[in-house]
Amino acid sequence: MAFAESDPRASRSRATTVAPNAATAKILVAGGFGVGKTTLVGAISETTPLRTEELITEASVGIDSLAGVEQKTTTTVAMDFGRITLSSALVVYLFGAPGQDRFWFMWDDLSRGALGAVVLADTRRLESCFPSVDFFEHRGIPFAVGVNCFNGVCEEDPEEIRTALDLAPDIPLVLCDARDRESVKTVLLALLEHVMRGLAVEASGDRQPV
Amino acid sequence: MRHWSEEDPWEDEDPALLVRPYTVTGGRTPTAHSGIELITLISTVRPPTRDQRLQPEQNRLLALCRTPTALVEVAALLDQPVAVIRVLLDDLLDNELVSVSPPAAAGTPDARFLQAVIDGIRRI
Repeated sequence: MAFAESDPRASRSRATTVAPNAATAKILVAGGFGVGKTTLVGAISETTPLRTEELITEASVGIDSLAGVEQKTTTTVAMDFGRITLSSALVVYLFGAPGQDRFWFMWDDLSRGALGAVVLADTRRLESCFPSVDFFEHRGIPFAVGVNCFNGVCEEDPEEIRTALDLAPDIPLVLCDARDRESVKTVLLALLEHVMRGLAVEASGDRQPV
Repeated sequence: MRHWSEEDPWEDEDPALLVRPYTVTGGRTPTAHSGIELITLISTVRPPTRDQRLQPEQNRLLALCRTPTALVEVAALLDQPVAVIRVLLDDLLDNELVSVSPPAAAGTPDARFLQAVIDGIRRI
């Protein structure tokens, strides 16, 4: 499949016609509530982020108290997502979803087949991204941290943030503005290049032909 | 296309919104066709014949997927949960009215694919 035929004109309006057998890729955007996940998706998506609501049965929802509710109930979890058509043969989807503990079962589903994840952090509430970092570390899903600096100003020292998050030295940490398309591209590329380095290490470790 | 922030579910007078989700599917739950993921592209192959009685939502799906559209987008644009769309798809696949894009290879992505994504994002 000719992935390399990316069309530079395929910008926000999806001028490119996508082939029915096009390859699709998925990148996740995680982080605490209100950190700017949907803003980040919207900054680079060719569509306004769409929302879909998934039905989740009561049993899956963890420790939500449903005292007094006798029958099986469903609740909904919202996911926001956007699309980037890179060529007629390649489309990338970005998914932002809630980072609260009780939704991790959904992340298991969502992360299957994902290229990797961006954990969006807000220096004013750094702890709100701890669960996301833990999740991707434990599942071995490659991720990069984007520190959302509003107005492009960040007074924190990136190394201090890295220490506070207890990040391994190879995990990319990028200061960004989630509203800015070029800035979001930088974060995505930091993630994808990190994934690529991981593949190279794996290949050399297994002595597989490249 | 409607932005989610503009949604007010109670303002919409469409009675379909008051129908329980699986009513649309006749109470059936997913799904005979596995390997269809959120980002699997669905494409309409041909219109239904006259004797193929489809649900209104299935007709909407066929109209939408004349442009290849991912499962998750179909769900969002038709205002239905993904699980419901999967059920609607079962019939359409059985009748060969739609096709789906091949599933991505399991496990880690291959380097060539990843490089294509990197190059593409650099270029946009």
